[in-house]
Amino acid sequence: MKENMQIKDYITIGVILAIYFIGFNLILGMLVSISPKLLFIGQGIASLILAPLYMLLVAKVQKKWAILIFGATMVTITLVMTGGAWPIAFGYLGIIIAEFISHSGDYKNFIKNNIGYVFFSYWSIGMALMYYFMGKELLSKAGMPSEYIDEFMVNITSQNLIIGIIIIAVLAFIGGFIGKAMLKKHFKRAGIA
Amino acid sequence: MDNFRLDPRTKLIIFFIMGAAIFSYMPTFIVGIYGFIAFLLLLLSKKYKYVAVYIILYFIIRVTIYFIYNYDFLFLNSFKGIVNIFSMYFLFLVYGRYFILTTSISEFSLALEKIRIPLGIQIILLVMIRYFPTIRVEFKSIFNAMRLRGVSFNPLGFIRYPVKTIEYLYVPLVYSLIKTGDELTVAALTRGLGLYMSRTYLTEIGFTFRDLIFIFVSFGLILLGILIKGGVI
Amino acid sequence: MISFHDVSFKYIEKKEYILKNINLDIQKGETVLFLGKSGTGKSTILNIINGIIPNYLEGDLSGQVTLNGKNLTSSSIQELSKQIGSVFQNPKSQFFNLDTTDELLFGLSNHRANKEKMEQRLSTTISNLKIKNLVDRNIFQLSGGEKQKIAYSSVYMTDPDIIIFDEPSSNLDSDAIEDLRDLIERLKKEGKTILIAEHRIYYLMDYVDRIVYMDQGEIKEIMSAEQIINMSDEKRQAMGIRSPITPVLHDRFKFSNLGLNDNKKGDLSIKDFSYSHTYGKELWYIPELQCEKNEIIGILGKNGSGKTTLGYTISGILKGKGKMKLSSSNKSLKARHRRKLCSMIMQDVNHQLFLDTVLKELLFLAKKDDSLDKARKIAEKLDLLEYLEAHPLSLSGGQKQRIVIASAIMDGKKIIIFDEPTSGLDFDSMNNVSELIKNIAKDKIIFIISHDIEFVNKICTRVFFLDKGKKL
Repeated sequence: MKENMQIKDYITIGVILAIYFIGFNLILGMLVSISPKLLFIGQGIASLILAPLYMLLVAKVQKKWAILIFGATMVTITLVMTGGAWPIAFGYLGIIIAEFISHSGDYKNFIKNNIGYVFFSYWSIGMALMYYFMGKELLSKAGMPSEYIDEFMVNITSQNLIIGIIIIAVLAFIGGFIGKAMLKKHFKRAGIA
Repeated sequence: MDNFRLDPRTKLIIFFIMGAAIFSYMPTFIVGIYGFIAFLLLLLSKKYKYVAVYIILYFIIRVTIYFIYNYDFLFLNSFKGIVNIFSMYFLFLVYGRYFILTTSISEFSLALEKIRIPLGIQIILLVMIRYFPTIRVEFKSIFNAMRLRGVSFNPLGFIRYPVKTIEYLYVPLVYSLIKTGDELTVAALTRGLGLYMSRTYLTEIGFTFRDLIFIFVSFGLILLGILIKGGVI
Repeated sequence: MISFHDVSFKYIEKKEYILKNINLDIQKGETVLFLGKSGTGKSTILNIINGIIPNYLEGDLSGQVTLNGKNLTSSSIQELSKQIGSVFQNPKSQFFNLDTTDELLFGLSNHRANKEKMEQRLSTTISNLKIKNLVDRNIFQLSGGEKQKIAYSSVYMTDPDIIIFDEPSSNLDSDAIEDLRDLIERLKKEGKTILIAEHRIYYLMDYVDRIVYMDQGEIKEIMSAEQIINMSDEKRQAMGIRSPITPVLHDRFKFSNLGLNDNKKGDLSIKDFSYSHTYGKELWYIPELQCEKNEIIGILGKNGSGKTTLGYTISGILKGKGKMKLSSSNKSLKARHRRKLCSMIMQDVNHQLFLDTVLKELLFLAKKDDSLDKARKIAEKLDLLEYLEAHPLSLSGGQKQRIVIASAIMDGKKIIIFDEPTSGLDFDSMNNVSELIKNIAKDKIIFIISHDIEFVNKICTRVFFLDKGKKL
């Protein structure tokens, strides 16, 4: 296998990224439209469900910077789609950490990849942080009446933020195991991993 | 007027300026003016149907919000979440639609090229775009196949067997898409993708006076907002 | 122009050599057809020429391959693409872009051609290949045949000296194959070197200079088109070669009626059946159709005429309008009843397999205790017994097809619909599928959607044409 990224690797990243991105936004969109309180849990659930895709990527493209490119593209697209909402940029941190952790295991060590995935899952934390930093401003700009804003912002506390971060970590970690199982039971045997 | 054209990079710049207005402490009316600009762009591009639809949609949202918070119709509470999202991102919805309707993929690729995005990243983005409709089509077909085999997809089934339901949809979908990706890669390589670090295009893009006007106006609005917030005006 | 000298190849994961000591010289401007049963190495040779082997598909390649005297394997796939164009089998997975014009320009774009060249090649291609109606369109809205047309047009755009075709007609109906024939004729006139691996060979007989017949990785014979045409049917079929003359529908189908003899009421009656897309016009309309048990009914028609939709409607995936009744009751079957009654072997069987062993697939709906025995018996009959613990998606296309068929039998389905079951199959496989279907047809009603006339002639009892809006 050649050392640097080849055309086929970029295409693989593109394919998996397409599924991951659509899947994430669909799942999160569904949960948040049920209740905005599910913003954090929603990200965690999405990370859990989509974990097999991440594991598949790491198994298929075991090259330097693959995870970084995958994650950074996703964060950048989200950044562009929100017109440059600066809290989104916090997501880059998790991606970078994930890349380095997985790299230290040559992309083959499952525990490292799983921990890496936990950090990776914080790529979307910016969406929640938007409300944390600027929730009142955003909602009033959207024309929401002040009772709604108060009702909503009551939920956005530092305590909830920390709880949310923990929830995402736990769900992503569990997701990693599901991902590994999916790889073993299906993807490897079907010849696509 | 001939075809109203803006360079894709201009559209992106304007979009970022709008975003900056929202995600900062700008006065709200400035956001309103940007909203107006978004509608104006759609109008100038002759997308009248969309203008009409979005104006109607906007009214529906505003009216719904009014009713939710001034009257106690309990059933409306369930709409709170959706209405919130729509309202927040309405400006993006309108402007995003404008962007997609007026920018062809080749113009977009050329713009990426001009701002020196490496070929690998361009490939990732193009593949993603190409895959969005593909995923829909494959999913539908797999969904039908499952239904035919007797797998029912009501919400009840999902709650009772969440893992299984996801597994049944996941596996054929990912398999099919990855396999298509393999064939796609071969077809792309045998047509020279990656021969050079950049590609050439038949389309042309470029900045004109029109682009500059729009950028200046958008920027000017931000300045206005800063001055107002700073108490100067 | 192209030379193979003692070339052998095996894939990394496999033990056996798929190509053994190939020696072949291809002259400039020749049209060479590669023939042989599936898996004998035809595609492998083509993949070596365009560089896919060993750059993308890795393995042990020994021997010498040269292009115009220069060693082929020292060039990358992309470098070779300047002189060699490749057209593949599946119209759905060859396009990189969403817009047809972007797709046409793709090769030249990758080769960094300037605008003048792009415009010139674009107008030349559009007029020479007659694709004016396909330009500036969304590829997803094209039919399979139109997609394939865009695929080979985009290869034509870069004006390569050598064009490789790997089973290009597999998914095409007879009209699209005629367009393909026109293309080959034009390419020949332009002096291109054409290399084709094919099973459906009838459209090529007027154009091939040489036929390379392969068996088990070796070149067994070099033949001419006349030799194949004059060969006896037995010898040709023993070699696994499909008919070299344009297939024509058998005479016996002239008497196909929508009703049954003596105006009998069939085991299955369909009345006033139609389907329209939401807000669209009617796709097709069937006034009446009576079917009996043990029948194998062929549904023919051009690509895009709605055959698959008809299959979906009969099987209950789509609702449609009209009545479908069994002789046992007078109630019209609703969509979910139809789904219980019918099974469909889809064009893409990969969409129908979702469990991790073949046995689990078969036992998916099984409830009774004796199901395990039943499953084993069916697996044995369909040559799947040794694969019961394998992952369905790891098997070959034919095996996957048989798994879906086996599941349909396990589930006790009385109506089975096949959607293009012989796409890309060589003669032996096509034969095996026909025998299989004939064997399982007892007490069932079988519908075959197909554009493979040879196949239809073999097994169908009645045949109907679906032609944009009607059943003829």
